[in-house]
Amino acid sequence: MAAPRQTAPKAAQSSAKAPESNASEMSKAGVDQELIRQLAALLKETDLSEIEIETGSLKLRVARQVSQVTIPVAHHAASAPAAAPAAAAPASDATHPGALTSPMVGTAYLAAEPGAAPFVTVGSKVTAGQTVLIIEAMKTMNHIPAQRAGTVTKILVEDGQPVEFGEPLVIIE
Amino acid sequence: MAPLLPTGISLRAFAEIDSTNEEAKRLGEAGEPGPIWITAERQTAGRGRRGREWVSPSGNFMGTLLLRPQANPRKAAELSFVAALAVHDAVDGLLSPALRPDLKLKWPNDLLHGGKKLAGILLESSGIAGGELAWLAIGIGINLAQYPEGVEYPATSLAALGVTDVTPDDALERLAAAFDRRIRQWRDVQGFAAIREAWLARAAGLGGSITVRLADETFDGVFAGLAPDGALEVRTASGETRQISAGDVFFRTGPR
Repeated sequence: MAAPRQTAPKAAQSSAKAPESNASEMSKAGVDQELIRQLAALLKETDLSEIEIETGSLKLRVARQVSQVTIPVAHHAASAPAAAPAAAAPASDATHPGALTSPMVGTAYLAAEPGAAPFVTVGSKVTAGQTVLIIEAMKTMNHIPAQRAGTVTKILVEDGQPVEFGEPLVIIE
Repeated sequence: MAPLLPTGISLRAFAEIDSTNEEAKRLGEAGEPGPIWITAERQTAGRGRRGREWVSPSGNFMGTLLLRPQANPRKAAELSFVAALAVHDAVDGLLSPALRPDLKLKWPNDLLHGGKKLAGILLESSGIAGGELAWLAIGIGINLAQYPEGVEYPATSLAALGVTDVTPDDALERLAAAFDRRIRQWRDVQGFAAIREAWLARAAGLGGSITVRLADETFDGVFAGLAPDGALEVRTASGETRQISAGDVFFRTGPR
């Protein structure tokens, strides 16, 4: 047999292949909304206030207001439910430090199947890693785990609602 | 004899289990690195999309491939189409040449023969924004010996098509080899673009009238194509093109 058989999903090279990059689509789609969404999500993820990119004829700047609250980084999420992070005045849901955002465009489900009990409700105590909802895209049911231990203080989507990449889904404090 | 799988891929075969996807999920959460095939002769709680029952009689293929794709959830959703192609490849190889032209894919990953459902796929994963998936389970059911009656979408089986001697282990060997090839193609330079093109070449009802059922809405349109990320493109009567990432598709004029 010629080429050595590689185990199928080994993925050795895949991480080098820029998992998120759809930048090549930019040229053909004019201003790519998805790209803007990705940049917006990246802003949030990196906690930067501004990203500017330039490719060929396109120059794109995505900026946001960063509130001055210091965000307590709860790495030891399993410890006692931390006190609500210094609730800065009207921090929007999207920039709330306890916001769990959607990793993909898709449809949100609050329960495993129609008629079943929801994974969480407002007031539910969750542990880090516990499934709080499902986002479906391309018939892939992606379980969204709680990013930290705490209490669900807000559920921002309805069962069956379409969601965008980076959209806040629930807030866990 | 144990089925022959590509090097590095292991197998856990059960006589009976709740569902192979549930077992994959348990193994995934427990840190099983995969890739691993989980198969069962019978399932007591086989499931389809949104909790629908997947009828799981003995003699049919029921199995799940558990992977750690080292990809974020958006990227990993492309594996839905990789899976569709792998199942198409595997079953295509079991059919006589005369039966092959009628083997098609319905968005995103149902396998149809002559417009009837021959195999279904349900993927489950766990992952967050900005991170890689913890695990991905690709659950597959192929109607080898039997097919359910009275289901919403008409079904068929290989046996009903006259292909009667295929065991679940035969199907597993072909599936495992086909997944090995298609996942490699997906990881290759052309990546999802090549997968998307191959999928479109096998698409049922492309250019035809369809009805799309979403969680809160049902609408009609023309199946116009696939978006670069695999979303279903539907052109509605008003001329608008909608991109659908989750929903059920029905053909109104019958798939070709």
